[in-house]
Amino acid sequence: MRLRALGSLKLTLPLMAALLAAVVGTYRFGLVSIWWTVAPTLLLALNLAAAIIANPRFRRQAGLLVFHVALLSLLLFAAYGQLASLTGRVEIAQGQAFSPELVMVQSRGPWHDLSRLEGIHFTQGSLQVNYAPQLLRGGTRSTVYRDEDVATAVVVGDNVPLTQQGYRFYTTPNKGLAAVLVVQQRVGGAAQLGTVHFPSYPLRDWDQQVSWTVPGGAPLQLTLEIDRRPDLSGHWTLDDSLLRGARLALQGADGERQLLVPGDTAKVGEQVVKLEALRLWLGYEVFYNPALSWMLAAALVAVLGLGWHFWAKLWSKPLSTEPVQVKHRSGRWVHT
Amino acid sequence: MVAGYTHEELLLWAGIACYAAATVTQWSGALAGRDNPRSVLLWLSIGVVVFALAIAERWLRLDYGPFLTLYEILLSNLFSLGLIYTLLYRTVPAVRPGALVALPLLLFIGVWITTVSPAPSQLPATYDNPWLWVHVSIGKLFLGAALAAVGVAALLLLRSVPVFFRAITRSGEETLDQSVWRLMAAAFVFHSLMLIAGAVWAQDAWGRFWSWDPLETWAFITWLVLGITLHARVTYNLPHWLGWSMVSVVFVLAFLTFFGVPFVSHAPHKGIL
Repeated sequence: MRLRALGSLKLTLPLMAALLAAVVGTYRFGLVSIWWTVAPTLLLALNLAAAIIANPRFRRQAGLLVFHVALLSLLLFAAYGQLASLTGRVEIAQGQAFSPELVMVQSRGPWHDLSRLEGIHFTQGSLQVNYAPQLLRGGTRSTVYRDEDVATAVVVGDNVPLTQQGYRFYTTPNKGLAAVLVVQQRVGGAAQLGTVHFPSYPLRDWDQQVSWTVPGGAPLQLTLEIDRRPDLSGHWTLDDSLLRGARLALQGADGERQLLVPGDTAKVGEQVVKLEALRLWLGYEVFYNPALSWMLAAALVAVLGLGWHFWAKLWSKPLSTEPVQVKHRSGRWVHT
Repeated sequence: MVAGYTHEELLLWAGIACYAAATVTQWSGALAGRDNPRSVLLWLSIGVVVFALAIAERWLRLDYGPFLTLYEILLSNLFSLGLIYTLLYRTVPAVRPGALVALPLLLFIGVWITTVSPAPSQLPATYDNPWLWVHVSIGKLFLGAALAAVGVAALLLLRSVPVFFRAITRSGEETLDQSVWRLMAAAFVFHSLMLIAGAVWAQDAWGRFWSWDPLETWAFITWLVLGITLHARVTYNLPHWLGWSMVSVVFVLAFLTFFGVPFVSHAPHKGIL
């Protein structure tokens, strides 16, 4: 009896209205808690499950049953997907290999095991981004190498993500210039290789500088000096040709400024900093959701069920051909 | 080019004139008590072909489809809504009385487009995706079904207008009511498919299938209100006027979602920087 009450169709409508109010409230008034939308959705799922179990009339209509079971499955897959999902960002410079430590996690479901990322192997290759006048971005072509082998090159970008181990890496508009540096103690000590990323380019082309502290040493201001500025009024392509002739300026706290081109070294306190290369870096969105295909399948089955139901109930039957009579607002019936 | 007008402008004005002629024919027939569906159908068909030519001319010139600016969206819907409505008008006689409302709505889009800049834009690379076509095509089927439904529903609601009342008496209220709900059921199926295709496209293009951006949020609100409308009709014995009013609300929401929201929000569709 309680199950029947929980599965009442008369309960469905207020719950749908509550979900509608929650969505509008979240959008319009910025309700921050996710529970405003999750709570009515959960109650709707309970109402639906109870109706499927307790309402025999519901079960007799095959199309309607398929639609609602698929809808319930969609909610379950969506919930599982959230629990096991990962979204994040990663910036990788040309020649740099992916490493799990580079990933900046944005959201992570409690069931997601971050060690899965250790199964990802790729190295960033060349990069081209096309632009139209007024900085309208066109296609992005990012070449990546699986296992650092040229023969394993794949081109990704825009609608084509890199997929590995169920993870998807999508190219983003976020990209820029990078300096690959080698730092070594002047007396002995192992060399350390690292990459410093400058602010996004061309979004912040006027601000290609960054503060950086030499490992175990002094803070420095790094500035990129680029000669080959693109003509933003025409079509152009962002690629590593932009970096031809570019220089890296190192400026310490004492104001001393040293200008380096790739291959040059500079003494900074007790360390020697070598500019190994100037390159481009590219930002990727990292996405993992193991329920994606299942959600798509459930959604398609739901629509099939809906179509089946409407066909059986409505579309397969001829329109009524009752004697033509219409009730006027005045209350009288008019026969024609 | 003729007297300072481009081919596209001439075709646009010709298409609008055809839709205006269809509207006038429908209304004059209703006022005179002599429906002339063949003439209406002829004007609509010519208008659809002319708008198809306008789109083709622009497409060949700019090398991208009508997907981006408000002008392009209005132009493509003048074609697609006209085409879907013409097919329904031809095959479902119960839809025809609703043309008294639906054709002026179509004409409204025609007048609106003349006030919008036709300046081209650049198609973002993420639009080069077959799922965009699926998403947009099914969306047009949804809006076409909703347009036909709201035409009949508004006619039934506004029965105190004598010309509407006479149109209802000729077809029968029950028949018209049934056609409204059949069309709304079709609209619900198409809207659901549109959301699915859009989610697949968004996953490919931006790496997320759903992110509650303004367009997605309003599309979901429209879907939910449509679901509530269909559910309420089955569950509660709704008075007819309330059901038809809810159909009208669904259409208004859909219209705002299609033609309003994408152009008042900074949806992530433009590809700048």
